[in-house]
Amino acid sequence: MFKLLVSTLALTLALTAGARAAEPVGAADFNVKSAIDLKALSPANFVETLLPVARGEGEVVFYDFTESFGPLFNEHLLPRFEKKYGLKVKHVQAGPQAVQQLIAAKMAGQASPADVYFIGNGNIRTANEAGIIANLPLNSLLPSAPDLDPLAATVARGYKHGGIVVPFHRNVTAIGYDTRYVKTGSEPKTLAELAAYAAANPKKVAFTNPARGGSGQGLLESAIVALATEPCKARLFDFTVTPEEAKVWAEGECMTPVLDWFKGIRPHVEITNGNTDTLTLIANGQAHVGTVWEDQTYDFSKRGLVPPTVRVRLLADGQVGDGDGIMIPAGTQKLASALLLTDFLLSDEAQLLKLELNGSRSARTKLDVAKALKPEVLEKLIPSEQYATLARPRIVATISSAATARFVAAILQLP
Amino acid sequence: MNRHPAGTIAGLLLVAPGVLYLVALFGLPLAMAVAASFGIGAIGTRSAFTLNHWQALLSERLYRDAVAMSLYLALLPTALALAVSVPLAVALRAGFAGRRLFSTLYKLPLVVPSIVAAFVVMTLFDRGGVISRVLTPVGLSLPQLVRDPWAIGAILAMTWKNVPFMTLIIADGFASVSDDLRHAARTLGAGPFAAFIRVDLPLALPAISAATILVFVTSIAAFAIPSLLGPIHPQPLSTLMVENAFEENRWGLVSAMGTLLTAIACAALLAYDRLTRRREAST
Repeated sequence: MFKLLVSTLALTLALTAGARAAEPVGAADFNVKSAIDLKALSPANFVETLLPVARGEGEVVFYDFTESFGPLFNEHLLPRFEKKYGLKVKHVQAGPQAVQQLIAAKMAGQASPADVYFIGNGNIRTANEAGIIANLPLNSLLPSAPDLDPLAATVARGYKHGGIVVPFHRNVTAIGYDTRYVKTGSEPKTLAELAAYAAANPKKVAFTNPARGGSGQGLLESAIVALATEPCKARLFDFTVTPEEAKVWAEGECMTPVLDWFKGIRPHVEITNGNTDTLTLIANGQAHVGTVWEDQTYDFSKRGLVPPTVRVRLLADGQVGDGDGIMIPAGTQKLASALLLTDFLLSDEAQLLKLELNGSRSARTKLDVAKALKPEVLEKLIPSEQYATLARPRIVATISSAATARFVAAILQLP
Repeated sequence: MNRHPAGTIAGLLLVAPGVLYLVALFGLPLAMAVAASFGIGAIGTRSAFTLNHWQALLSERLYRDAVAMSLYLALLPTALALAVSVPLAVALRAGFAGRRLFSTLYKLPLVVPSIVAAFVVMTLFDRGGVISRVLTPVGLSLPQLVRDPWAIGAILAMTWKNVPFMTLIIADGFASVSDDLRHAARTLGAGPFAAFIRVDLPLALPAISAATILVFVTSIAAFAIPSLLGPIHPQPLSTLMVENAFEENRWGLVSAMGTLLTAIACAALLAYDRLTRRREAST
């Protein structure tokens, strides 16, 4: 009897959750034009409600801010979407500056030139404050993605958007090493070991300038998370920190242990002009260890731009990562198609293909990556147990920027 | 003498498209950038007058160093390109065996985009690059040319890129000097060098100064070469602009940097214009 009651309750809860109607995020009404009743839309009726409307909308325009995801979208994901739903998608490599284009269109009272935008996380605050993001609760509305990491689904670089941008791509900064010079098992596994390796092997550790590339800024943030004292850490994920407060934080004692660590390694490492610059030194055999992004290293390895002997790992102190999301512009005239495309891009099929082809991680928590991917793919990625336990979210953008400025002044500027 | 009103109107109508073009595509965006540098209409922030962006640009060491690096990366490649281009232009005028082939070959950098030139230098001269791999087995090594603190690799690449452009303009200047004048100088007792210094050079000076100014103006905002080959720190304003725009969304500060770069370029053009007028007045 008890089992029956529990089962009934569980089923009721599941159905209720599945049928939960969409509510606008941060406002009483939706800010996007819709041919359907959005408040009646739920994961349970998502496709059946949207597909008939989408078929009458015509070609959907998909803006992509990246330079590297084009082949994934054009050759794999978008054709599969088109085949599945019989809808047409136009892919536009619009760059990060598309945010300004969308803002200009809104200011001119025009329809949005894009219906879906793959947007860099660093631009979400600007886009949302300009009112160009549809206030749809994408984090809970998409039937394909019921298991999104709650933090990744509602916060981007410390900015709480509440779920209006859905995390399509996740990545993490890591340590890359070439097993021709550093055997797996003997690679640096902690910040202390990395410093010791750099001292013992001058100029064989390449470290991306934090002001020029995310992998270097990632190591700076990881060092802050690991080395800053507890009272200082309290503000690292405080999303209300203003640029002025962040400057005070970064110019105070909080950065002392972090800067001491970097001062220790500075004479022994090669600081580079960007993520690619670091990977080039590894490819040239000049650097044996370097700061990298997991997905970029995977991509370079697949294209033969770094030797197949290069591996990636996370330091035991933890290393930070981030990602980028999909938003639907408030000015879209093709909302049904836009929602269907967004949902497809978060599906198991799309997310696993994205990982296999681009090394791009997912915010979907129940994807069984180890089961879905081949061993030769997995060996080029960070080991799953490391990713699960050592990947950390990036600290708030304001403190990261202020800490980078302090790093430049204390480590790079001549006295 | 009174001008006919119809002629005045026709003149205005004739220049109107050009003026409109300049206002729409240069004046208006520049005015918007200047306004944004003072916080008015800057994307991503509340529009309100502020001097904060200019204050940061002029007082913080990071940006002052960037201005100095921009000037350094404009002046040195310009001076080096000038030092190569003048003798090259003279040699091309003089004629030598294989001149036609050389005249084509020296222009090749013109069709190589700056970013490609930067990648060529990286591939050849970076640590572990092609040249390094050739030299290492024989016990030789190159000085650091990529990411070096004095930006030598960047300066050499920019010079390489600018030499043909400068040479084309200067060679045209020398070509316009009448042979009769040079011959007259020689018959009056001047040697080849004295004739060059006293006749050719002054008469070709407008072309030389125009080439110098144009190369300086394009070099001060160069992005690809300094970004890929330049030192880790300080960076020139051009690379800081890109980072602040697309990584930090500081459009007000970026507008101030852009305005400052434009002001430096305009100052160089005005100085050139003033020098030209003074020279014309004295002749």
